[in-house]
Amino acid sequence: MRFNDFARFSVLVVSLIGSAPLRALADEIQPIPKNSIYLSKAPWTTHEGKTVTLSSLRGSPTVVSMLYTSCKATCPLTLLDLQAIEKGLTAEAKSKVQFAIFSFDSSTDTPAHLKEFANSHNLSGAHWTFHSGKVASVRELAALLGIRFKLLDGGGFDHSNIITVLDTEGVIIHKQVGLKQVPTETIALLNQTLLH
Amino acid sequence: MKFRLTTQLQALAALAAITASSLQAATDIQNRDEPIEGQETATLTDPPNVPPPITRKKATKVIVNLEVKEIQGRLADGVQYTFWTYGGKVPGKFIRIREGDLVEFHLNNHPDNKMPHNIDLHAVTGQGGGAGASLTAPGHSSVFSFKALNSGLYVYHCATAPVAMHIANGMYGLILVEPKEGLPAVDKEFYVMQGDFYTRGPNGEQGLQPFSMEKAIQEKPDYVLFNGSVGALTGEGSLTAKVGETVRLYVGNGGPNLTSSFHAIGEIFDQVWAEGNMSHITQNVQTTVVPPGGSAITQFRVNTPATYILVDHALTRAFNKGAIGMLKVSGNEDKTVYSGKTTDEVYMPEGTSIRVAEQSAKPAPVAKTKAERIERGKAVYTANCVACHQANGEGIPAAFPPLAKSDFLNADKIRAIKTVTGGLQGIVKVNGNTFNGVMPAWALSNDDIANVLTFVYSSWGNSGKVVTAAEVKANAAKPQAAPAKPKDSH
Amino acid sequence: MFIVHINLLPFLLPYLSPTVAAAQAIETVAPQKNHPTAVVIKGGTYRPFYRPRLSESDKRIVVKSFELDAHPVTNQDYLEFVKKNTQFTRSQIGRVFAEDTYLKHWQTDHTLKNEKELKQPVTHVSWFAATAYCQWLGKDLPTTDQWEYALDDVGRSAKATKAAILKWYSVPNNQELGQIGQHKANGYGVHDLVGLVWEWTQDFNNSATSAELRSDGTKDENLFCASGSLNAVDSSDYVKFMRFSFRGSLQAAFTTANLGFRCAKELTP
Repeated sequence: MRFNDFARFSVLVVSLIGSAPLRALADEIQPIPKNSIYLSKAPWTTHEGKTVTLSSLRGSPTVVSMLYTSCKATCPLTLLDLQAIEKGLTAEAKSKVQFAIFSFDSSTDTPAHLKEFANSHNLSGAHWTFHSGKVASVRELAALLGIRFKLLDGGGFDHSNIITVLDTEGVIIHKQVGLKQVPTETIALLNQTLLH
Repeated sequence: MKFRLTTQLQALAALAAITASSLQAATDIQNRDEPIEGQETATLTDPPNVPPPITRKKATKVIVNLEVKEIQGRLADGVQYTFWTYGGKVPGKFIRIREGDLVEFHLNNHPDNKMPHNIDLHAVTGQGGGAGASLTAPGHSSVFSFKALNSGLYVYHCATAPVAMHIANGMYGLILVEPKEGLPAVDKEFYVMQGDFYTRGPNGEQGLQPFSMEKAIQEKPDYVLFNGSVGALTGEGSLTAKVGETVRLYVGNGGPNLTSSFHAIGEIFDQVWAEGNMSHITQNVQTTVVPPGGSAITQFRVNTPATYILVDHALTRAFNKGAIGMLKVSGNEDKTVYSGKTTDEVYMPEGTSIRVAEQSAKPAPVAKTKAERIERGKAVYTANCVACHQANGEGIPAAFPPLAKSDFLNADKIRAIKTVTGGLQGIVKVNGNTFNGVMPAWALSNDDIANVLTFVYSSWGNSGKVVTAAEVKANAAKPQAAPAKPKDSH
Repeated sequence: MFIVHINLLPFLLPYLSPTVAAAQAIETVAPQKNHPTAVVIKGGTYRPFYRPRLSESDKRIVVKSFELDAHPVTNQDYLEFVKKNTQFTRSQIGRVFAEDTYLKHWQTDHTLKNEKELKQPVTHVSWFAATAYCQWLGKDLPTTDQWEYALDDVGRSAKATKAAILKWYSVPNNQELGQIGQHKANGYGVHDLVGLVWEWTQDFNNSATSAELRSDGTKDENLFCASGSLNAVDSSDYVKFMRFSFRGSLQAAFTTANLGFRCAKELTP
């Protein structure tokens, strides 16, 4: 009967959707929320040499920061702040949260250079990704995150320091503004709110 | 006696109570820690009105919604100006809260505005007094919150660069943070705020006047005003009170530059909370200093009716630039407090005196004809004689004898010459009426005296005689010595 | 369970189709002709308004020759862009790229309210939208330095500029927006840099280090890397303060009734 065929087809569809790869497919083709920064199509290259857009981060809560490797003053402190956050995460959170770092410096911070940087700072675990991009991509991301930056005359960048937390869909849910901030709120958010 | 003692004791008791409570003023830490109960939206008022006193005894969460609106409005008659306002008026809305309150502040920048704006409230402890958290583009809103750690009357103003311009365009107002126990009750409360204004054209130049940064930097305002426009507190806008009421003025000064010497002509400030502080009262102050970015609270009982003029006592600001307001007090007069003018007397020390008449700069050519004498004489009369003998020679009954159809005058020309040249005192009878006054001697030229007498004789039904300079010279009398005090004078 | 399956199917069908509803591209369809004429701004040295140290206040920077649109982008221009790039229509654009006041002055996604708007500068556009438009034409937003350099006009039209600025900045926005090109161009041939609308620049907020912009020059080392403090070279140039304050109050997704843009292009050497 047509009705039974239909019923069987539905069961098949539902069970297929229930399987993991197709769940991933379903996730992919769910619309990205209108207020998510993952709507951006700006291209980036990871320190592993992969070309991605921001939506590659979709599916896990993400801690985002922008810096550049030749920055001597504040960027090392930013890394410490990020590591302080990581330290405060529960085991479960640690397994889910990813750290995405984007460089201001399109010319010096090539993927290879970023890989070197990651290694020398012991940040080459699976949860840490460094990204290199062209000027247009850097500008767009900074604008999306509300980060001010300016290329200085003698090289180097003048930039604000904001650590941003995105939910699994790329919506900004928290900003940790300024260096050396006590990350209690950020850690609490990552540990509790995102995991249910 | 008994009555006075009681009121004195009452006054002392009140003073003691105020002083005692001030010694226990809450500290910033106490206010920081005071727990919040409930929530309310602040009642904001336009000047010169003030929101009602706080009656609650607990700290609460207060939501303040303040909108910035750029408008074109009247600066003076025929003079328009682009004001930037908090709430549509200059000064901006009056905010009234209590120490310990938690304020959730919404700064709303109207989408029609061109400029970004923010706010620095002097009641806020924290970056920029709120300015750091509130820079807002047109069509957007910023929200921040603060705890009122200190009581006092505080200025708020815009702090967006160029700051002087934002303030000069009217972006200032007052926020009152009441002490825990509140302020003593009064009959009337008013909101007065001074500001200096700088226009491209001078004071009074008509039309839409743009802001002049050059004059602002030189601190040379064209207008110094209470409540944002010339005459805002006069005429229909006058503050009013009734005799016997206590009036409290919350006075602010937005500047941007000038310090105010605030004074109410005809009144004394019984109490002043100097600089808007809540813990120390000064009594019996005539003029109190209100710096730009500062405030004062003045309080006084109005004892007798009058129009009390509020001024900045740097007086050309009041009389030439507009720093004038009015408090109109109505009710029964108290003549003991102020009698008004009781009498108007003649004051003439040492008998008659020579009055140097108004002389023209150039010596006029001698009058040759009677017509000329009359014409010249009329001018002399108008300049010198009208005050007493009046325009048509009618004089003033019981004071100054008439010259019109005067029997005294017409009877004796020589006597008339002697009267003008030498003066006259004592009792005279003119046209049936007795006069007992003093006419001074006149140090006029013989020509002038001849002309004025000819004029008088030719006017108002008199005999039409002519008097010549030679006749004056021949018959002039010396000014009389001081006579004995006339019996009937008073 | 049966009922649940029935309900799921219609829900799933749209997503089984190849078209992905939410994808938004920055790369867009190639443009047509009829775009605002551009003029060449000859390069030179220029004294920027904000410097890291006041001791450098006379320091001049080099601005290379570049091309700048002679007029702000109009509603007509922008309409063409939107028609060819549907993800920038009012009903489709991601909130993250433009807040909900985007193009609110238009009648519909693709129509204006009246003919007059055709030649008025487009407003209610965000930085992302403005950037996308310029990149669609192979150009970019001018940098703040380029924009201010063009306005400076090597001092040629200082008087006229100041008069236009004073007039516009001090009158509230209750009048209809003017059309482009109604006033004389400056020495470079550029019209309406002031007097019509504020304009987006590439780096609109990087010169402001403090949100309150009282230009007290204090460093905020926790917030900003490197110099972190910028000082205005001429604190009596209050009109420049107004422009920089305005830019500093903006975020990239903002739109306002008084903010438009024009495009610039680097000249190939």
